[in-house]
Amino acid sequence: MIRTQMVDVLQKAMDGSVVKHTAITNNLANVNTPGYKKLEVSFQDALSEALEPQQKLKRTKPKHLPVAVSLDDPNLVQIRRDTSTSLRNDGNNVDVDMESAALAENQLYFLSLVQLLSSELSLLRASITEGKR
Amino acid sequence: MNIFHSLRISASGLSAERVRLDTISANIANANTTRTEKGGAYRRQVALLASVENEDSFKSALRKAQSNMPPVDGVRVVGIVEDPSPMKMVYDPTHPDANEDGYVEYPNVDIMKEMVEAITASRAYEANVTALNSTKSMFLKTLEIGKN
Repeated sequence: MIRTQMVDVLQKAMDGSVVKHTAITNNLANVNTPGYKKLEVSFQDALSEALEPQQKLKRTKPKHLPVAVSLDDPNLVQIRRDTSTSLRNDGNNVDVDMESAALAENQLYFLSLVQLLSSELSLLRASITEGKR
Repeated sequence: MNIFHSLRISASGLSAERVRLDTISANIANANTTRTEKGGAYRRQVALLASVENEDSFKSALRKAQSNMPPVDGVRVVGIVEDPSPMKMVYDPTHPDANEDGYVEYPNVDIMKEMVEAITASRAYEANVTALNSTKSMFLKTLEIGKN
């Protein structure tokens, strides 16, 4: 199996994007549920941190606290519930405009990741077929 | 599969908003109903929505172990209850449903309120349709990975 670093990173980003998409979908489905608090997903910061080349400290034992996020860390995608705000009297804090914007942004992000993955794979194919089609 | 999960969540939102619209339509249709099978005037109906999330269930534990998905399953209608607010009393002694003081009991339906609720419900429905279409386009795009 041909696995390049680029394909791995794109796969992680797509995973995170799908989780984020699920959270936004759920927020939109619960836009009229009294007392519902929105879900927020973040992975892009952790992902870019995992891609930092230099590791300042080295872990010598597996029980040591992690010094940097690795790409295989299951906590790369963080889901949290924003319970601090309320948008309406019924305690719901889903802002439809914000969620729709986040939905569109996340969709475009995902589509561009798919595009990148496709061009990465076509590069591999070009090298496999030595540039011939 | 994760992306089908989002489709199901959007579908649950669509069906919940449709139930809300149905109850609102019933309220508007019965805004002047003075007699019902239960006796008395029609009482305004309200659909109760609740988010579906059970962090302790086996299904959500399994899902969490398999992938990093949030333990949520959209929204559902937990019940349709009657609005306990007082009825409108209108003085009309000639009405067949008038009581001994000459007052007729009219439903506690406020058309303005129902219209506002109907608009919020249909906007929420549209938001769910947008989310559904976006999920679909993302899923269709993944089928093109590796083509040409």
